[in-house]
Amino acid sequence: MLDTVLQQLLIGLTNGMVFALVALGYTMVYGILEFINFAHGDVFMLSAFVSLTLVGALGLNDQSSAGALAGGLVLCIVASSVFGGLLNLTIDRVVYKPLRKAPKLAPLVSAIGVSFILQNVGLFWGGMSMQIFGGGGQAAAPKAFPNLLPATNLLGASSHVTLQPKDVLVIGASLVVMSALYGIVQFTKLGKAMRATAQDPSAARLMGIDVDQVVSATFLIGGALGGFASVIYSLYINTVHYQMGYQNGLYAFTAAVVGGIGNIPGAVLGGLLLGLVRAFSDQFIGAQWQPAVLFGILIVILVFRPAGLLGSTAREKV
Amino acid sequence: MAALLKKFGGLPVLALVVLAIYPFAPVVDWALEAATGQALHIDRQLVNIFIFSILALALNLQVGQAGLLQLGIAAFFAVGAFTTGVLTVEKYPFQIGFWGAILISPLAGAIGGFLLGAPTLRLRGDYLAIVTLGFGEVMRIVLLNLENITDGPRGLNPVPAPWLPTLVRDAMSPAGDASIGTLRAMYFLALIVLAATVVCLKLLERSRIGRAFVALREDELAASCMGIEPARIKLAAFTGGAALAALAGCFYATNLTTTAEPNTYDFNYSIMVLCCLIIGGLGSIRGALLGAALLLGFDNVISPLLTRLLQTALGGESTHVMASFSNWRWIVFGTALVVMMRLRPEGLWPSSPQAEELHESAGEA
Amino acid sequence: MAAPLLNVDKLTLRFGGLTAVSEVDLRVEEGEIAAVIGPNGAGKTSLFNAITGIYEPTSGEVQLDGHDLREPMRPGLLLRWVLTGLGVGLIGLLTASNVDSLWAASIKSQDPNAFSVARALHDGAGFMAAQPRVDLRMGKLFVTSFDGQTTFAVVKTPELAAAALNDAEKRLANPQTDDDKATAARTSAALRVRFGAFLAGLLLGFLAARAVWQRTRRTPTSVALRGVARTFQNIRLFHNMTVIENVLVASDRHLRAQAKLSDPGRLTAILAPTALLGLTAILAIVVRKAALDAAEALPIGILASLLLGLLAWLIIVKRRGAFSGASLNQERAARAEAIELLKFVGLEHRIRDLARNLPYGEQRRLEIARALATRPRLLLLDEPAAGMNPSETVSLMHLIRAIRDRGMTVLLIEHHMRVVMGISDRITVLVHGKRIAEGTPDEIRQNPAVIEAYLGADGEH
Repeated sequence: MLDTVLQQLLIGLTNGMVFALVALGYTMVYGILEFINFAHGDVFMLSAFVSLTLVGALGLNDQSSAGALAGGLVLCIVASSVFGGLLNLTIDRVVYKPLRKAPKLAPLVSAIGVSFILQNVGLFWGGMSMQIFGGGGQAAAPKAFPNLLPATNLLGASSHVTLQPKDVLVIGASLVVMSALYGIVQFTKLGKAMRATAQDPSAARLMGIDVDQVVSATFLIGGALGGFASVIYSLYINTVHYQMGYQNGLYAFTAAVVGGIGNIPGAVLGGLLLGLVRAFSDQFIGAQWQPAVLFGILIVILVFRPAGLLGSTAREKV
Repeated sequence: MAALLKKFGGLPVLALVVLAIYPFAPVVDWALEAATGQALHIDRQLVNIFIFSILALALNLQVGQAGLLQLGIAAFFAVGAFTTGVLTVEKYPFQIGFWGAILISPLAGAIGGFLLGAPTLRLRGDYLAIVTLGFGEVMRIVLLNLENITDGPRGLNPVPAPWLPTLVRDAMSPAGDASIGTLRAMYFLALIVLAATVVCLKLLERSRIGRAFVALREDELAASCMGIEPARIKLAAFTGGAALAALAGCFYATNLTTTAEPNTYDFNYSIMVLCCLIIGGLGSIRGALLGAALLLGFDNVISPLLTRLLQTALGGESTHVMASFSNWRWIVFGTALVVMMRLRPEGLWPSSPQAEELHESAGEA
Repeated sequence: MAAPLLNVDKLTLRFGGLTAVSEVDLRVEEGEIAAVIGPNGAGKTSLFNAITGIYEPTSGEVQLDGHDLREPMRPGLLLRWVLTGLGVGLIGLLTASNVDSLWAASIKSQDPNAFSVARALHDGAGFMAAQPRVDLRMGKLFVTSFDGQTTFAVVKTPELAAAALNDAEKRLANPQTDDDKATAARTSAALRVRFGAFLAGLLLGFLAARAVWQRTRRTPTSVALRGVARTFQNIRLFHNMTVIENVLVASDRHLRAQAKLSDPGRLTAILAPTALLGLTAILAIVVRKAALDAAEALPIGILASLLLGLLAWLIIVKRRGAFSGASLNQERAARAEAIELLKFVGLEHRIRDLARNLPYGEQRRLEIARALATRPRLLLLDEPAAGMNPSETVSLMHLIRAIRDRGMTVLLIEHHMRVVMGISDRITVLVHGKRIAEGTPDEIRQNPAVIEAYLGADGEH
């Protein structure tokens, strides 16, 4: 029993880290622009396709040498993060920016539209005639992401709890990235500008902050986080699919709302909480009920704490 | 001519008359058949359009009129379809038939809408979007997993055709062809319900509740300071929309003779309905009808046509994913959403007050 | 002495570290015109927002006519919470008892022996938990325990299944072997889980309903319905509605408040569809029991109940004139009242114009008319003279006096000293969220603290 609990804790923690990374992208954009960037999950998905393509092009698999693997992984992470960041930034520039002053519905609906376009792109990408995409015959099928890290149990073969190198990688890398983000937001000039803009965009503008630049930076960082998350997600789950952005994006957004949307520590807390709940409900209730359990919890939390766990109740100015 | 039209109730009545005569004199079918040599059965498409229009009007009540961002309308559509399934198929002892189901399935939808709406409608708009989205997922998962009740991925079938008095049935079926009789019965039933829905929604628009909707959309705080209870008005709209969506679901299952698999009612379906509102004009009843017609027209007429063209251009039977135009539909819908929001946020055929609201805000940009 | 109409008692409003309003007392007597003045940022609008329920005060009380403005606790609420709890508990129970297999056992099974209602009713849930059931799998009938973990028998025909079922029930009711005891224990454990789920749901629903109520004890709506109306500093009209519609929106609420649930019209609106559904259901059952063609009888049943509903509607509603006819009458009355109000504020020539096309001064007047349409006892005006020219200001002063003469009490925030001094019976001065003075215009004019803190520093706008 204890082993099961420990194992699920570990699974929950790793899943939660991925959720948290994606949730950060949602929450940062929401904090500043007050709109749900529906396309964020699909940026995450396409970034995973970038690293899958790279892995295929480099011919990496579980037989590759350690040096090649390390180099390939770093390349994947960099490429996916850059791709995610730039894609997110481009979407903002092309689609959302002209709608800044439109009614709130307009950017939201546009974001849903972009999300569909990106999903369709993912579907076509899956039809690429590369070996790693299964030759292109089955575009809609899930693609296998090769298991690049050794599947040894770090706690020894006899232990009932499995801790693999990829678990360590996910948790470690996520912690590093989150601390870096915290540092940026808390201590750099850009971070201060971001926090100021989130609090009151017009006041920030009066204070001489270039709000457009802050928004761009937010989309760039959020997209890069999503791209980074996509690599560690692919390494961990070993499957890439054109609809994974929707599913994980939904969970990640739920995590952001649970933690208190617009609140950066809240997103991390919400992600971890959701990851843990998911792991335990998979174990004790049944994986097929996963979405039902997660959204049930969302509703309960919103009823008792409408602003999320760490969010503060901001009232409309009169 | 225009004056004559106006005298007899204007465009809506004209459209209704044309649609009521159409199954007996499908002129467009004849013309197209003469031109292409293929039978198109536009009346069959029209039944689908009627049903989809009811669904679109349900969403319009929630999103367009009450201003609630609902992203899970398919869930209530599914509730209607599956309630109808459970109440009518042979597997169950109920078997109350279409006429019973048409009364009970909206009730089931309303209960579902109330249960979801009561705790969540006090939340901010964006949160509602995510909650309804989640509910849509949950409903799909539940229907898929409760295999003993819903028959899981197979769906419940056969859903029987509506019973009709012998007289009507005979009148509907030329040369005793029962299948055409059923089709025509569905055609007229759906048309009548659609017309009744439009009339009711029009009346609602002009009523006190309609006024409250506009006030809440414009300035919720000011409206609540004038004694309007936002949560209550929203709950009424949400419940009503859910009931209407379930009614559409009942028609859908009956027309299809099966509830279809639960995965039909996914997020994409909800967005498709939203898409036709956006294209037609959010909050506009005529816009919703136009949007529904355009969307189904694209799916069932234009998309197969383009696929054929693509295949011919590529020289034969290409199996590549990009060679089938149905795989392009989300790019098309997505682009449509983005472009509409940018260039014509009020939709193709808006009702006048909504156009002013959306235009004014866009003008300030 | 009678309680004042509005009594604000030590009201404090804090946002994070910022104290906007600090321990402010304010008393407004019935029938007077009172004013709150103070420099910008003194917390005047925040005070209004706290009174009208837009902000929840950090501490302190607001009383109208001696009663707290928050919705009082009623026994009916407790009932509502319990009912919500029961509803959620039921969902919990259904979830925990695996509604899927319950359904399979009770509804879907073609074998009447698989589930007997009489016995289920006899000893309730305990029976259900220990109930063996029959499943049709791959052409064979499986007699299993309710949770499906113990298989008692696998047979081919329904008769054999019925016998095996009886046998299994006897064994479970009087367990002899260890296996039977274990099965019985397990099913009772399953029962405990279900009961737990029900209790948890009950508690959750109760607490959730209570939490929601707590949050909505004082809302702008509830305050407005108690008879406090207001205007806004930065005019908040419904810009895309016509002038008369703006007023009608505000008067709609007491139209609805007049139509109590017990009114025959409303009652019928609820009862008629319910009766119709019930009748249909009964007919459906009767028809099935009588082995008639359900499809043949149902439309007749529906038609019959529709006619019945229509008849009831004609008798009850039309005669008492409470529903449709009255709602038309109400609408007509509301329109007449709205036109009267618009005449009162001098906007009768603008009735059909869109609110946003009005000039500034007229928008302010329309806002006042809209607030008056809620039939308030107390009217809060937030800087009504802002942006008005001298002649408009004079007519505004007349208007405010006329409002008072209609029997309403007025509390206003104003920077315009001529207005404040000209019409107020009593003035309260706020500086930095604190009340520094209160009194008649003459007293305030001579109050050294006011002169120093306010007039001296800020002067007349």
